[in-house]
Amino acid sequence: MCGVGGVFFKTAEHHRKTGEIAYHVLDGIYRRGPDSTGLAFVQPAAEDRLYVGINCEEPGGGGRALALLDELGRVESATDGAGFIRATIRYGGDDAALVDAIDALGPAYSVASIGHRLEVLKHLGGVENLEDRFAITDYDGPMAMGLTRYATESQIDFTHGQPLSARLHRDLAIMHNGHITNFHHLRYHYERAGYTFATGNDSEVIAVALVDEMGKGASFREALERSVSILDGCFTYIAVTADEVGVVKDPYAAKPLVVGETERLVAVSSDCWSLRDGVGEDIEVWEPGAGEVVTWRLPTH
Amino acid sequence: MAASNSLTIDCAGRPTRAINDEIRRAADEGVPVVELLNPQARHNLGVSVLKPIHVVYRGHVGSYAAGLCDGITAEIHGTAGWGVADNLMNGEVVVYGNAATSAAPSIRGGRVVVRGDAGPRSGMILKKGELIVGGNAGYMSGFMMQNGRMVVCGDADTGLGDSMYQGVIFLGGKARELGSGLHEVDAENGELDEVGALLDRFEIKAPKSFRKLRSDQKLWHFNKHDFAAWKDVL
Repeated sequence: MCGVGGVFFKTAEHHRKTGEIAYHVLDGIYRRGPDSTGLAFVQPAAEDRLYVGINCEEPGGGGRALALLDELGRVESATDGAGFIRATIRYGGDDAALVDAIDALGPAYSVASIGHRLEVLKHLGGVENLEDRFAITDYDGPMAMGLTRYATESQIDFTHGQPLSARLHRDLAIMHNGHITNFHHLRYHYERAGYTFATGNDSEVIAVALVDEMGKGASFREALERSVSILDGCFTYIAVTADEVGVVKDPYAAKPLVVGETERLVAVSSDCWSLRDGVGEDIEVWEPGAGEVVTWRLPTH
Repeated sequence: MAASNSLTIDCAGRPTRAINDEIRRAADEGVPVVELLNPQARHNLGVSVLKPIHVVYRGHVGSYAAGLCDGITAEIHGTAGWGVADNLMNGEVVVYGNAATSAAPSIRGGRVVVRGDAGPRSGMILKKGELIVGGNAGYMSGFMMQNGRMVVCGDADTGLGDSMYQGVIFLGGKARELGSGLHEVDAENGELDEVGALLDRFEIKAPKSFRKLRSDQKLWHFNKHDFAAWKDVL
């Protein structure tokens, strides 16, 4: 069991900060996933700017990762969140060189995500730990979607927390509640096709499947639709890019997810009260059906 | 002690167990009506009440509201989470909004009314009693129904009534696909009038007509000559 949820605004004006809404949505689904909490945000773009999230399982090891980032590019801002490093850097080089260099620091280090506009933050425990380290409630950008994790098939640490990305692929993250039963089969297939997996979490294969389908020419929505038949098991997942948000339910509708949409915003959550508590309004909610895919394009303003 | 006419419980800030204990105590003492304020979509509100009482939920409820109850009546003025009125033995539960997955699962008697839409697997393993859905019903509604009656005024998603044993489904709209082992039969005299009268009572707009669906009983016994039919099941 995990909880997924978050919000994006259609309007430039926000009645409540995006980060505050996400905080309350995730706090409301804490009991669905007390092991770790994570969020994906859309941040402002700038030339050569890269939002980098690094899993650092070695206590006190954040300094090494930050020093390396300083060598590779120019660090605009960085926070050592004790286990997870949040950094914004100016980097004009090759993504693979950056990711490989961080991985080369040792098995305790890995890249959680890289994004030109999408940023991922993770921490152990509830959303208050995420707030303590990264002040997420200050965020007031267009989108914040997250997950509270209840680990079932892989270990509880920063690396296996969600949102998860496909290694080396910018600006895509997934948050998955459920389990993928054909994970090993799919992983074998994708590894033979040249993909590298960064974690042992079955959910990572969703991100890889989406990247693979989009690489074959599918749109974001088409990739999500195809994933319903590629993946086996129970899944309700949220997928985000810098431009789009999608939710997907497995063909058995085994995991909950409610959607609330107003003229101002779209909020989703595993639990309707967490959703309403988050947006601070008693909005109408509905539940997508079996095998249903719903996508939205983020506004450009 | 003379029972007062009604009891109002403000759920805000109170533990669910204390609220449920208070409802049960009120039912034991013969209080006719209990009103719950600020349910805030909390789970398990009003479960296991085994004596008659009328429960009014003023707001949205979470999962398993009015679950494991016997002989109660309830009105939910909001949306209901998963498994509303789970395993109801007798009584009547009316949801004025929508209901999430598995509305009225395995009820053994009484009536559950969802005036809005019901999610996937609504009325699954219905054993007796009835589920009325004013709007649409989700995927695999009526799955493995064992008896009782389900009325869906709107459309049904795929797998309607899949593998049902007995009981009937009245469908007002279209089914995206009927489940395995289901076929259409003619309604008996007066049956549709009875359904119509029930819908009137709950102020649900009746569809133009109903199709009556029930098990064709082919899945009751395994027959290797029907293997093709079995391959489609599950």
